[in-house]
Amino acid sequence: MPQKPRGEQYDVVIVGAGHAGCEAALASSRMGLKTLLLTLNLDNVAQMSCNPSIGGLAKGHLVREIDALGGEMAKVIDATGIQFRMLNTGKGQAVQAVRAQADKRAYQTLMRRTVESQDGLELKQGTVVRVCPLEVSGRTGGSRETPGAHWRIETESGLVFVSRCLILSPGTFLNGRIHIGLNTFPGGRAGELTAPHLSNCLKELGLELRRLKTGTSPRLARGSIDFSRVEPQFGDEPPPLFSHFCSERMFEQTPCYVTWTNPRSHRTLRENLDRSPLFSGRIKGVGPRYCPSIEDKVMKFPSRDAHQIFLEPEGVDSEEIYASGISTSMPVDVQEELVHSIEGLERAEIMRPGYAVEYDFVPPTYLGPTLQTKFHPTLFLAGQINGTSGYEEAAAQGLMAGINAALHIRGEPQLVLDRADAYIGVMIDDLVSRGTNEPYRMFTSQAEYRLLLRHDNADERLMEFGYKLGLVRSEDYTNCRFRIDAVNAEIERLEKSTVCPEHANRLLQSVHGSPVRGSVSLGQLLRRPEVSYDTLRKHGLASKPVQVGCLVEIRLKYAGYIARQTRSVEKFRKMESLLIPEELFSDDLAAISREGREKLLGVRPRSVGQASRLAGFSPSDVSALLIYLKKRSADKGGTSSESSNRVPSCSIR
Amino acid sequence: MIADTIAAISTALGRGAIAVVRVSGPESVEIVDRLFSGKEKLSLSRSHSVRHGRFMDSSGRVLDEVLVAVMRAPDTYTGEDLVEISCHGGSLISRLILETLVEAGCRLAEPGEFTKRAFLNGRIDLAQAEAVAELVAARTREAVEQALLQLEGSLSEEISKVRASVLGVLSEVEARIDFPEDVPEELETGSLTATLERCSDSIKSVLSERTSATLLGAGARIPIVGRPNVGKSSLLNAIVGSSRVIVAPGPGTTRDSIEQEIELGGFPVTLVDTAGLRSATEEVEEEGVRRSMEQIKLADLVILVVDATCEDYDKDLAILETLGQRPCTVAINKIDISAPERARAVLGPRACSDGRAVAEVSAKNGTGIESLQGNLAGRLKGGEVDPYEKACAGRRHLDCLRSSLQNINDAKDALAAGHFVELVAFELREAVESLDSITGKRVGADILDNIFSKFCVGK
Repeated sequence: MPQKPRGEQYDVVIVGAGHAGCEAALASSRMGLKTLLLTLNLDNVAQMSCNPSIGGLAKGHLVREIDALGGEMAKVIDATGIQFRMLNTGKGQAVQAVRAQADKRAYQTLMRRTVESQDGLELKQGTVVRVCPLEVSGRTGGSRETPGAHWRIETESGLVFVSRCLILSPGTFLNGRIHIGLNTFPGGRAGELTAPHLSNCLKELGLELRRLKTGTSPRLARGSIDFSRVEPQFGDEPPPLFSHFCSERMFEQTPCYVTWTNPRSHRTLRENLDRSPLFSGRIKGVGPRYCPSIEDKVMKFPSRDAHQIFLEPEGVDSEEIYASGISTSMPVDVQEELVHSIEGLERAEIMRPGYAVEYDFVPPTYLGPTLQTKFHPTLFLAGQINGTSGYEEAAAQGLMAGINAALHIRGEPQLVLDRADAYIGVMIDDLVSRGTNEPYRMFTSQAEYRLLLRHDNADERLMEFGYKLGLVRSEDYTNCRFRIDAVNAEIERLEKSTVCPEHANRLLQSVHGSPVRGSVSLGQLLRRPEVSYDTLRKHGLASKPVQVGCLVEIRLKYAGYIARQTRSVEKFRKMESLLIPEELFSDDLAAISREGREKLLGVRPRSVGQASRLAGFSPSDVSALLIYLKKRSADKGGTSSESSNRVPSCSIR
Repeated sequence: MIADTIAAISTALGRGAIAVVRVSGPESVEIVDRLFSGKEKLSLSRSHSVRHGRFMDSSGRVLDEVLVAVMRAPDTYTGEDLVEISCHGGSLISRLILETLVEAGCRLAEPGEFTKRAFLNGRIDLAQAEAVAELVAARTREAVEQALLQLEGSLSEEISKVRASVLGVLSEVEARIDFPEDVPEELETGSLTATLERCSDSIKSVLSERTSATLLGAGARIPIVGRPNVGKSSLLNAIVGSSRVIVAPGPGTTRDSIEQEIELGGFPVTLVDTAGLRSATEEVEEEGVRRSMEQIKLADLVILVVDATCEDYDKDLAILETLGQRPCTVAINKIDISAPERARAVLGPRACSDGRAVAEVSAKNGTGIESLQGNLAGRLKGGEVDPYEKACAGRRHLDCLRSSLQNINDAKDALAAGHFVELVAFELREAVESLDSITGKRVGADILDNIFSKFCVGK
């Protein structure tokens, strides 16, 4: 009988080559670990399942943060995007973000090429049918032993791999089920297979699975749309890019188009509700509120007689136009009637219908803030499997999982970003502390420290981590530091330099500002809402380049608020640094309320700070917890439990 | 959290010649030094020494002659720098001293906080840890419940309304930040600032109606309730007449009542006469009932006065029903005219199972008044009511309300001036959080929930 293959050895194996998988694979291989990326289908690496766009509010912030840490998404979209716009230009810089329209094919091709040409990274096609932990036999010798089981991964075609860490990022493919009207069939994406076996493996590993749904809009044939009847929307010139490392790009941007539904469209939907899987109760999963199907919108806001639709080209050479805003799972004939009722789309052909997809996910409370599962420190989950929606959310998790898997194998302290470090930190903390009932999406309003987590300071906050991990080149990091130093120096200069009132008032008059009586510093002038760095430059008072000027302006205008938030962050970090040792969870914690205890033991928070954020954990529970912690540490004769397992933190806080 | 300086009245409130106010934390010596005048500055005192001098309020007015003990870390009760101020007994002076300390930069201690710090600084034996944890947790829970109880009625409603309005404005702003394409309309600055103006006015009126003295509770709040003409006012006069009055009589916080601060058995007590103004006009029955109901909601202990000469106690029973869990003493008045047995038989069992809660008095000739006072003092001492904790909760509410008011006004100004919307959002969020620290709610998901219910967003 032929021997069972022992299995090819890897440090890290990643299952699923979507946005999470690709980031994870690139990170771990770039950190020197032998990595394998497995996908159901090589042709669909880094595929965008619905909107052909990346970024926007909060999501755009995530992309910038991924870039600052040395991830890939920003570079790929900058190189292949077909339109770029800055959103919220009428509001302050803390809430501005870039949104790009993507060429799906070009994006995929570039990401795939990047993955394929990465040293230390192998890309293979295979449907994983089984993953199981192997106990580490007592091996001594040179390299450090990785705590936790190794993994054996088997594919349908009989390939076997063994790895020290396993990252699962299967997207919507776990027991994926597609719904179009009352037709339903297995699939992770339309036209693609599902991954039926992984779910069972996860259950065997002790993880619970629940169901979510998400939906997508129909794609229309470009040639069948009457563009004279819809409103174009153009990108910004010059196009604002995401990446800190890309130079400018000169190219012709592709416009999007706007149109609207009308009462006739809504009537069509209402008349066919019984044929909608959503309303007939066929779909069990919970859908996202902020990505509602058009049926949802019409039923929930019946007084609105028009809903907006964005027609987004899927690529420069593509015939397909994504009709964003009419996400639906209605039967195809209803979709046609709906589309034809819309202005400009009277003769539009549907190339791919909209549909809903239901899939399994693992409640992310099973994870720690490093994205490791609590039971198996060598198993990481990233992306939609954790209940998130969106490419950017997935990519951010993939990057963190890849980094932490590598650090775990290297035996080094892991990287945890907190709520004041990055949106990535807010998202992961929300997921692992509170879990989620609907597909989680990033919004700026979830960030308490939003004024500190800006588009413009992602590099200041995170690039040092990227550099120390080896994901950001030293020349790039040096440039970043130069920029930060230049900004700080210019701010100091502005605060110290004063102008006489005559000069100041000339300047103020030019921007309709109220005059001053005595001398003022340039810093005081720039704090005024009507004065910009450019104003100072025009009056010969400042001369730094635009990038520096912009950053200086933001810092000064927000100075008071930044100071307030920074003080709150100090208090917050104090609580985050009070770590809870694992052993505490088996103590008798009688003084903590029953509900608090349940939450504590269910989630096993890392710190007192995280514990205080658990739903149902009250202030009196926090007091009692502090006392138990103290008792424990004094019992062991230990010192106070300050945070000891972070990568050396960025000194630019 | 652990780094600030806390203050609290340390002796159990009761009759005594001396009250002690304690201050613990890194700035304790410095803060007290500013308010103390003696032969030598406290900062120069040796540790564990006692100094004699005068304690002054923030305007320099002398509050009391005091003895101040300065103890320096680590050999103190809490393990931190600790200052103990011994002042002449009586709740008013110690309260004023505490108030002055808070204004000077101390924080009012949380329940059990001194013990908590003592433990965390290793001053209490580890073997006691469980007991300490229980104590602190229990007292914190009680305090939260107490604080919420105090919110019953119009104050709580007012806070809810303001919170909902502020949250509404915040949602309008946040919707435009996170969904600029779905909600492209400009903010309706005019109507939003008007809403914030109304919120600001609401809070201002709450703050002015409830003066510090009243929210501080002046200890236990004891309304005298009952049907018209049972002798409520007479009873109040009788009780007050033979008690030590703390503050001169005057109209109370609302138009409908008269409040009188007295000391009962060493405890600070506010008696509330729900009969209306002294120059009595004719009482309308329903109006009297309404006033009583409002006062009952704020009460720590209720005196229900009934008329011994009455035939039928159904309406009195009805009032008793509405008291719920609140401790109550039934005072059967006019025993100089009629015997109390009938009243006792009907109401006694309802008031309290052991009959402790019934007193027989004649306000007219003073019979039974002293024993009634003893009864009340006994119930206060017995811990059914913690007047000190209530005072602290009230103080905290005041601080949160003031803080919230500041945020709302800042947001309103920023909105009107056309400043960045995220700054407006920042102020509004802090305003909601301040209000939430009174009610124990959390802003969390409320913003998104609000946005999704009001706006059609998302593609």
